[in-house]
Order: sequence, then structure tokens, then C-alpha cells
Amino acid sequence: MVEHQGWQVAATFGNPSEEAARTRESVGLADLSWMSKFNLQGSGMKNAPDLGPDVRVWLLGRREYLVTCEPLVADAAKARLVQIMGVETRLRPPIYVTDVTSVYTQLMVAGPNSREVLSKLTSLNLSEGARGNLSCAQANVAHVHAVVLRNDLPGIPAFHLLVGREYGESLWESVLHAGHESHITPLGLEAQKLLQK
Amino acid sequence: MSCPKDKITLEFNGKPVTARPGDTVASALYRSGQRIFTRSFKYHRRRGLLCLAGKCPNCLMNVDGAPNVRTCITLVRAGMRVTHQNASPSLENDWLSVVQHFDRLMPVGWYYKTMTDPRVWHTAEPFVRKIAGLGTPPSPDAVSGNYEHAYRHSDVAIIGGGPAGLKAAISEAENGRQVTLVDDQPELGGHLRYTKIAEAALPELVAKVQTLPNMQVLNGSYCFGLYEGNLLGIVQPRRDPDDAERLIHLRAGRVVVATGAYESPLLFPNNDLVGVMLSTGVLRLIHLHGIIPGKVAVVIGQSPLVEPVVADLREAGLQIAATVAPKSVVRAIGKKYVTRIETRDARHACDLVVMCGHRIPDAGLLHQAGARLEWNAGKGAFIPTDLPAHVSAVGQVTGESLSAAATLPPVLDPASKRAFVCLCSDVSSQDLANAIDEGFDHIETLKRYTTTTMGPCQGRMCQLPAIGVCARQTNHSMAETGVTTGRPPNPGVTLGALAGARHHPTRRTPMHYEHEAAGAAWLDMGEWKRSRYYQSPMGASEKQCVEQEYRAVRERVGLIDVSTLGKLDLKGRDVGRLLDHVYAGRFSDLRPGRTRYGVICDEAGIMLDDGTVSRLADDHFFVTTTTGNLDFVLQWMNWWLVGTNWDVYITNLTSGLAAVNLAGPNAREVLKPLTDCDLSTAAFPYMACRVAQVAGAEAILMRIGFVGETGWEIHFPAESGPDVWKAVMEAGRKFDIKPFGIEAQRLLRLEKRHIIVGVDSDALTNPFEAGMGWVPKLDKEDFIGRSALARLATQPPKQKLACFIMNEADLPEDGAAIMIGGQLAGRVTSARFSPGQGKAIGLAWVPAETAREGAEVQVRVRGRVARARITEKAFYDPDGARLRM
Ligand code: FES
Repeated sequence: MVEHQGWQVAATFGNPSEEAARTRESVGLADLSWMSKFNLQGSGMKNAPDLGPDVRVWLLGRREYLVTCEPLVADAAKARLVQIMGVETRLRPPIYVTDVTSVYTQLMVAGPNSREVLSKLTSLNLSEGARGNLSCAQANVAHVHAVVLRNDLPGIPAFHLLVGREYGESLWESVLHAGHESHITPLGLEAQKLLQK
Repeated sequence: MSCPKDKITLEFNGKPVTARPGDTVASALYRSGQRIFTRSFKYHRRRGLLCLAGKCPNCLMNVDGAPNVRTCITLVRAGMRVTHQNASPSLENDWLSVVQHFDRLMPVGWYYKTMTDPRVWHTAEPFVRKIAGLGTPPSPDAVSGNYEHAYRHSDVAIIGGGPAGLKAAISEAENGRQVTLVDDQPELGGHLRYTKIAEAALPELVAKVQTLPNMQVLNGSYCFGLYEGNLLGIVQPRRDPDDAERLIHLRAGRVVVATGAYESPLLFPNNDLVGVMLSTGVLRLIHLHGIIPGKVAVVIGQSPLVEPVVADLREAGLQIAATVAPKSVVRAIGKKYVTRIETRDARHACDLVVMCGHRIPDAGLLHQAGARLEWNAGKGAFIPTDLPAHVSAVGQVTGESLSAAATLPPVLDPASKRAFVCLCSDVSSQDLANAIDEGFDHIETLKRYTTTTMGPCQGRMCQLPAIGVCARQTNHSMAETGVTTGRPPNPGVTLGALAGARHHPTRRTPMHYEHEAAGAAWLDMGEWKRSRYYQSPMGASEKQCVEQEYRAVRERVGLIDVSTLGKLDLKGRDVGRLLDHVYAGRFSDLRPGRTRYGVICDEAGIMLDDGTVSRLADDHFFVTTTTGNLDFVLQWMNWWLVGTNWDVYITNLTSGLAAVNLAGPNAREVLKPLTDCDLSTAAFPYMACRVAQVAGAEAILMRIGFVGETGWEIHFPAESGPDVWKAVMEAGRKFDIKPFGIEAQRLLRLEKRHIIVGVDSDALTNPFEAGMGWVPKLDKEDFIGRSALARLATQPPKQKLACFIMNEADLPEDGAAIMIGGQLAGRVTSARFSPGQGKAIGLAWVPAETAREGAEVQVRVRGRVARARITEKAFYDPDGARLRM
């Protein structure tokens, strides 16, 4: 375990380069619950706000967006939002920001076999045509309601599963179970860094 | 010839059997000399291979613990353990075969007529239980977790890997579509694999299919259902023991059904003898497995179907004793196996009877999908018509290349009790005729009364002959008689496949591992794990542990994890309006920094949920719900918001916040060093709320008292859960703080007469009966349940929820009956032993006139009647002074 942007995060489960290699070849599973997340709602949320290149904004529903980013850039993103809202509050309609970082466990399933593994847990169509990079959806995954975000690593398809925090361990086990046949590997932070390259 | 190294050994009834690669279990056993494969369901008659296509009940065996496996389409694997079923002691000698000699005592429907008398049933039950059913379910440990579900999507699904299916698949794929091809046979090719058809270009077709990149082939997998929205249920059996049996949910843009046609048996006495086979079954044995199933054959059938079959059999080396028309067959003769065929004018000795049976379009999936099956006299078959949108059919399933001339109408004159229509349940043509005479003359009632078409073959072997007999006996045409309704699953599916892998989601609170370390005894509440109580290392009983936790809260201080409460964050200018509308109480006038108790009622004034509402800022509320009702409350609020245009935005923070309740006379002292918030009653009175730091985490604090002591409910980010918990426990050490569980909490609140919605109330309870008439604010603007509550407010309730205390040392169970003058008058909803009172106390529904101080009632306690007294006030601190300290 290491300290990472204020969170205790697993650095590796044994061998980072092997974890990365197995993910490239087949599939890996990482816990990214430390990512910052906030919810934007309100009649002022007509379009996705532009919060900079390191921040992803996902459309969840009518006038409802989910923002995900690294904790390091979260403050900058919030400041930017305040700026946008500063203009808008006077004009109305309002925008409401709720921090939901603690609400979700965020697991990433990455690798060429990630679809194969997830297809055992969800009826969501994860094919390239239906669920391209940077698309999002909501579905049941292993009998738990999840927000599914596709956010690829360089050259590797990757799906992020956001479920209620209290389901975290349960979902982790279900994904490992479903990935057994594909020799799924848990991925530590070190290996994630290798895969970013 | 095959060399020993590609021999596979399996085990049949404990003895080794050698098989060749490509063999099915049935072909391997047949080659080893096995002729009887099963015993029939009712009469235990010998049965041998019939269709070799997985469509009849004649080869069902137990394979590796799984019952009713169709061995003729199951490929062999080394080490397979195969055992026979439905015969004892052996297939060759089955003592239950005596039953067939008593068939006169067991006419069709006999159990409906005889088992109506309970005395008969009690005598018969042990015997019936022993012989009923087919196969033995595997023991729970024999089934490992090797079952899973998988979800697939494709543009086109093609069901059937025969020539028509292969061609359709290739053309769809060449047009750039994602194609899934499903075939239930071990190899692709359909009838091309075993018949000599000139156009046969099978190897090319198969090779092509295998090279197309956008084609997925699921062979050896069977489709058992075609559901709404083109959802297909497909089972992919295990390939090896480590593999999982997989249920594939395939969602397809279009479905092309290319299931072909199959052959079904002809009707004549003793048509079920071992050695009487369908022509396609015989050809499969010859061409797929290199087995010649006999020496001298009689072929029964009509031109033009028989000629190619006869030619094929001759070429294989079989001697053809005779070719006879179905009409002229009188019966088959044989004791163990068939030895002769008797026709109107001759007897032909033989060891194999080949039936060129009816060709039946395999339209079950189409029928399920909503297609109509229409009798076509020209083709002698029911042909699917009116296919639903996005479902089409190709090949023989459409009736292509069928002709009525091939077979005669499936009737038999006269009926015979040994001419079996239904092989699955031993229903003869005589049985059907009798049932029709008894009045079951509609094909659907006939089916239910005789169970024809309801066995393992699901009508594949018997439906057409049954319709034929029914039409004949009732003087109707085939078209008028019609088919029975086909429903999924067909063929059958193992329960393991339907259940899939065991992914039982479990919800753990952020402090789960703190509780585990403290010795929590778990209670499953829905998916949540909660601490019922904390076990003591000294091995004290549950009652003692609960009492210690209780005393800690009453005398010192206790801490409970209430993270499972539903927690909703409501922002917007109109939140007060929404809450006024949804709750029976009033919230728009709640001042920021205050908390109020709230009850949600439905339109009929029934209590649905309760919780707290805290106003954190003008446009920011924080609402808690009971553990089980979160989803409901969230949906309920969103439902009432639809179409209002109110500025209300709800975020569910249940997962994001940990929550604890710190309660007891020393609670303030424990919390003081951990927070920057002034906790004095002056600054933080009862029913106030604040946002402040607690042990380094940003928290919402509410001063409320479910358990009846000075206390705070504290909500804070889930990831800080363990740290805050530890910090509070540490700060409480000098006050001898104790964590307490659900049991102690329930006892504490019972002394305070605090009800739990859903435990003490039920689906008919209104606030007036529950003693909470102060809750509804009938003077506010319209809200949900207002008119009903206004009416209820003026009517005296018939029954009331009242507190009671036992006179002696009895502890009634939750749900125990309340009696007045020996008559049932109500029931206990919660009861616990109260250390404070030294007796059991509780809440109970009693007649309204009894719900007064000092009234006497009787409570049924484990069969005895004990006395109790009703009290109107709470047992503990009825004025709530301790809450305000
Ligand atoms: S012989 Fe196996 S199902 Fe008919």
C-alpha cells in the first residue's frame, strides 16, 4: 500500500510488470475508488461544462452530469465550476454540485478480454459499436446497479464500474470470479502507470 | 483404423468402455454392445436408441452426476461417469417392469381418480415417491460453482447449422453483419452429415463459416427459448469438467430460424421395441459413427422416402428383409429386442426395424415467438405462418421439400394399448381414445389429462400422432384439431444453468471490519451485514451481551453503526414544498439547523416510512430513511416531482456516508474533545443539527434520540468510517464505552415506545392507530394522503398499538397472539426482556377499547396463556427529560 493523492492505494499485488503484461494480453482489475467524483444537477446544466483536459464529464441523465478526475486536479475543476456558476447564479437557473467521491467504489476492468469477462456479469451491450470509448451507461453488473464508463488506456479497452461503495468487496470478488477463465490479474498503481505509457 | 492412442475411456455403470474421438456417449455404448438405454417412465419397458438427434426420451442417462442427459448428442470425454436411470437393479432386469402387466389397473388419469382419498394417498405415498420422477437430482455438493451466465449481442442470430442455416449465416456475414450461429449438434452440417445429397458441399460451407471474422459459432449449444425483443436463451454445455455450463442470453437484431425438420415415429403395436429405430437415427449411426445396427432390416415407409434409405442401408451391408407400407403393419414382435414384423399377409424376421417416419418442421421456437402453426395437407405437416417482425425462417422448417405422399396421416385403426404415441409417459393410442371418450376431446385438455407432449421430448415425438388420433376419434380434421401451445424452455434446461454463478451481492458498512474485530454476531438485513450484538471473549450468552450493551447506553455511553440508513441530499429552492407534499408533517417552516421527525403516508393514509429531515441551509436538506425503504422513498419523491417543474435535485448519498449514533449520559463528554462544535444544550439543543468536524472528518451532527438518551447521530464520509469509529471508541474509553448492536437498540427503543415502521406497523397501519396522531398536519396545503387522513382523524380507530408489560417472567415471541376472555384479540409486534423493568415489555395491536392504562390482556407464550397489563406511557423517561439534558 502506498499513499496516493491522499488515499491509501495498493501499489502492486506482487509484480507490476507482470500485472501490466497480463492486462495487455488478457484482462486486469484495478480499484480506482480514490478518483474524485462529483455530481452536477440543476436546470442550469444544459450542456456539459468544459472543465479542462484532465477532467471527464459524463452525461448521466436529463440535466445530470458526473464529473471524474484525479484528486490533484479536483480543486481546479471545482474552482472552474464555481467560476461558471458565478456567472450563472445571477442569471439563474441554478447548478447544484454534490461531491460523490465517497458514494462510489470505482473498479476498472481493462484489457482485450475485458468485454468477455464483463459479459458474464451484465446484459449491457459492450461491443465497440454500442459502447465506444468515452461513452457511459447505467446497468446492473453482478446484480448491483452500476454506472459503466468506458475510458480506454492507451491501446487497451477499459471499462470503469461505479457501484455503491458498500458493494465494493462483493463486486471485486464477482469480477475476479468471472475473470478466472481469462486469468484476470489485480492491478496495482505501479502497473497502472506502466499501462498509461 | 484408429490406433489406441486416440481411444477414450469412459465409465458406464462402473465398467470401462472404450470410445473413439467423435463418438457420442450413446454411440460409444452402442458400439460396446449396449442395446437397452433406458426404461420407460410408467411401465418400465425396455427402450433403445431411436432418433440419435437429441429429440426423444430414449437415451437419457446420468452423466457425471447430472440426470436426464441426452447421451446421443453428448460427446465423450475421458473419465466420464455414465450411469443408467429409472431401472433397478439393471437396465436388463428391472423389477418394476411388472407394472406393465397391471396396466388395466392404471388407465390413463388413474392417479387423478385414485389419489383423491387421503387414506389411499397415505398408503401409496412412500411407494409413489420412490418410483415417481425421472432420474435423481445431484446432491448439492456434487454441483460445483461451474455454472455461469453470459450476455451476447449480435445483428443476426441463426438457429440451426444445417445447409439452410449455414448458407443464411454466410450471406448475412458477407453483408457485414455480426452473426451468431447456434447449432445443437456436436458438428455443423445438419442432415448433410449423414445423407447423400448431390448438392452436398458441406466441407466448403463449414470451412467458409469458420473463416468469416464477424461470425461466432456456438455448436453443441441448444436454444431453448425465443423471448420478447429477440432474446434467445441458449445453453452451452460443459466441454470439460473444469469448464462452466453456460447460459447465454443472446439479444439479436434479427433471428433466422433454420432448425430444419425432424422425423417422428410411426404408430403400430410394439412400436417402442428395442431395435425399432427412425431412419435418420440409423443413418446417423452408420455415417457418423461407422456402426451398422443390425444384419437384417425391415423398412417401413412410403415412396418416395423409403427408396434412398433402402439403397443407403444396402450399401452399408444390411440385408433388407422387406419394405412394407405403414398401413399394412399389424405389429412388431420381440421379447427383449424386435425379432419380427407382422404385416397383414406375412411375417418378416429381422433384427432391425427402420421407420421412415413423419417429417416435422422443428418450428417450436417460431411458435414461442408468436407464429401460427397451420396444417398443410399438401405437405402433411403443420407449417409456421404469420412470423413476427424480425424473425424469419429458412430451409425445411418452412415446410420446404416436404410432401404428404411421403407419409400417411398418422392414424391407427383400431387403437391399441401397445401402440405408443407418447414414449415419455407411455401413453398409447388406446389411452388417448379412452381419454377422449371420457370427455377430454380438445387437444389442450387431452394433453393435460394424459400428459402427452409434456415429457422430456416436449412433443417432438408425439405431437403429430396425438393430433392424428384426436382428429380421428373426434371426427375432426387435422386443421380443426390444431396444435398444443409450445412454451419455453424446450428442450429442458438444468436448474444450475438457470441459477448461474453465485454472485450474491453483500453490502458492508464502512466500519464492517471494526465490528468484525469487536466480535460482531452478524444479522443479514437484506443484502446488508449488521451487528446483532458483540460477542464477549468470555463466552457470555447473547442475552448477557445484549444486557451489557443496554446498560452501557443507559448508564454510561454506547456507539452503534447506523450507516445502513438511507441518506438523501436534497438541494433546490422548492425542497420544502416537496417535503410538505410527500411527508404527512410540515417541513417548509423548518429552520436551518433544525431536525424534525417525518412520516410518509400513501394516498390511503397508510404509513410507508419514517425518518428525519434536517435543514442544513435554506435550499439544502438532508433526509434519512429506514434501511429497507431507501429505494422506495427515492422513487416516490422522484415520481411526485415529475411534471412539477420544482427546483429540487436529489442525490442519494447512502453509500457515501458512514453514520453512527453515540448515546448515553456521557455522550457529550466523549464527543467534546473530537469536535469543534459547541455541544452544550444551549448551543445544540435536542432536535438541532449542525455541520462540523468530527475526528478530522466533515460531519453532519443531529441531536436525536431513538434510544432515549442524550445522543448524536453523526454522518461523515464513508472512507473516514474506520478512523472516526476508532477515534470515538478511544475517546470513550475512560467512560467504558461499548459498541452496541441491533438487539440492544431494539430493546432500548421499545422502552421508549418508539415504533419501527414495517415491524410494528404493517401494510394497513395509519398514524392514528399507531399512536402518532400528532404527525399529520391536516391544516397544511394538499399533501399525499391528506383526505384519507382527515377522514381517519374523525373516526375512532378499531384497534391500537399499545405498550404492554408481562405480569410474570414470560417472554412472548414477536407475533404472539393477544387474547381477551379466551378470544383472539390482537397480536404482539415486538417484545423484549427489559432489564429496566425486570419483565418482558412490548408493543401489541389490541382493540381500541383495551388500549388504556391498566387494562388486562392475555398473551399466548409458547402454548400457554400468560397475563399482561397495558400501559399508555413509555416505560423509560416518558417525558423525554433525558433527551434534553
Ligand atoms: S436417441 Fe438420443 S434423444 Fe433420441
